[in-house]
Amino acid sequence: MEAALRMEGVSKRYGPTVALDRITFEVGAGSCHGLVGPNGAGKTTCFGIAAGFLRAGSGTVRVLGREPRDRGPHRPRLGVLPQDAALPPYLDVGALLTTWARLAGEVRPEAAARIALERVQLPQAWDSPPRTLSHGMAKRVALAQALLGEPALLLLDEPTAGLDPRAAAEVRTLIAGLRGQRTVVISSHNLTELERLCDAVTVLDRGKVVQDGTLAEVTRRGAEFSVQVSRGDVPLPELRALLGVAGAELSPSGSLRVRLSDDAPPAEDVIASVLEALLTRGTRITAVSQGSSLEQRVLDVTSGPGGSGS
Amino acid sequence: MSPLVELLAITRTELLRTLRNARVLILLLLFATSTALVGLIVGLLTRGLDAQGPEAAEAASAGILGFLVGDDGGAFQRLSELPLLVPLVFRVTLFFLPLYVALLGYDQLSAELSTGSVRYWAVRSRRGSILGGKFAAQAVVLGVLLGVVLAGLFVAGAFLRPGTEPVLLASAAARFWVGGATFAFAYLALTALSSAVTSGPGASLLLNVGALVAFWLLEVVGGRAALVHRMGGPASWTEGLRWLSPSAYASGILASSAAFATSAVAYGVFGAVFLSCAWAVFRARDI
Repeated sequence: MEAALRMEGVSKRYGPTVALDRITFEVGAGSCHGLVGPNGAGKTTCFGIAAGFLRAGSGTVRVLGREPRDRGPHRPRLGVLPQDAALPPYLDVGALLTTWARLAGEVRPEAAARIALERVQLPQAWDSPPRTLSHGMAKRVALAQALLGEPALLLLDEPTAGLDPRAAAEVRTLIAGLRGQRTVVISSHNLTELERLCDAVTVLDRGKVVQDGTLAEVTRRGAEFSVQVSRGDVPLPELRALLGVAGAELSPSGSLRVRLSDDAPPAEDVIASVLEALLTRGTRITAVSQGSSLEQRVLDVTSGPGGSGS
Repeated sequence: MSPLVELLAITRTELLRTLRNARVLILLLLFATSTALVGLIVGLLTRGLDAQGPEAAEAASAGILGFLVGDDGGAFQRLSELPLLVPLVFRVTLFFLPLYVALLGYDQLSAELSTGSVRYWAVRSRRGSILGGKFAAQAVVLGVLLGVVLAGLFVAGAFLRPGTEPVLLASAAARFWVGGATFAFAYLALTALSSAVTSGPGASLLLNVGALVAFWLLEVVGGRAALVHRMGGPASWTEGLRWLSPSAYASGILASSAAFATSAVAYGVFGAVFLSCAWAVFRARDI
């Protein structure tokens, strides 16, 4: 698959602070890619470099096959939703979007602006001054701006931050609707949201890539599974001795995590034998899930509070 | 999209923004009011001089004009045909104009960089277009303001000296406008540079005012050394310092054609240098 965004050995410093340290990852064309990590991991710097707002100190960056600061034909094909998407107060929403559409190279800017506003389900906001919009509505207008010019690549920095659950769900639905039509890169702290939307994830920590791959790879779907236990005995030594089990740990909340060995038989067979061992002991099971949650994986691989930093 | 279309789109939007910005409107009103106030004071003074008799008034007027244009006989002759109020108020206006320009435009780029809002950079406009569009919009506002202030000044002058030829007034007004506009645009370019170098509006204003003070000091130090030299004192390299300051060319705006042209070219060069530096900084920097 052709890469819509490729970063190779990219570093960036702010004075003595290293924001990015030789990071390498790529985003396949047409995919939905999550960029995650704790605060200060370098996600926004990554976005800034990809959008051409920041210069990389070293390394190679290619956006749709070109330099990010290239003013050539790829320029209108990149849509950006900045993190703090405050709208300028001096024009009504329609006039703002029309201006942006004109700047994005739309031949019929007003028509393009109206279509973008309809796409985010806010056609009624056309004549509204930005100050009268709710936070969620303003975010959707900003998203409409990012969609102008039919971008091939969308960079969305915290698209649902600060939104109430309903507004966040609406924005998520909107982003889900873009899947397959264009490449979307999302930076977010809402990992459940990313798990629902993304095909692939890059985990950053202190300016380094600590995990990168498809969602299945990152969440180790083929390498471990979890069993939620509500009551009863969990025979950990017996489970650890089962064929294909490399390790088993039980958390105080009753979550049993079982890691599969490299030479394990198919995961389904190991799951069946573990469940059988538990049920034989009369253990009550409430849920079984393959792999870790993205949240658990991020906690595992990053050095923030609760993470091991491995 | 061509750079010109992009530039025009940003200029148009910035004009709308400027006209809807309460701070800018208050500043413009303040500038017009302060000019009117200076005009009133000068008008009262000239009326007082007139009351002392035509000879005393003529002598005082000649003294003031001599102060404004030095030994430039051509300029003296041309300006003496105008009511004294007009060149005097215009010259005082030029003294304060750089500060008004700084207050008008100190946040033109720095606000764009510091607020994190969706503005031109979010749609990835060329940085040259952002800089040029903002500069052009404020230049239009300044040009119109200068035109309004000069129109008021010349109308007041025509009332004070009813017999003055309308053609003479019109040509002098046009000349003052061209001189004042090149002067204002050079300082607007300095404001753009201050704004491009800094990351916040406050720092931009501070740098801009600091630059104005530094230029004023260069003119004072250089002018004093030149005066000492003219009075028979020793020549000093510091004399040349005053020509590095834009304010040193302000008197040329009232002078005869050659000095006027020199002054206009000097302001054009200052403006071009400041704007080029602003573009180079803005193009290279992180946002």
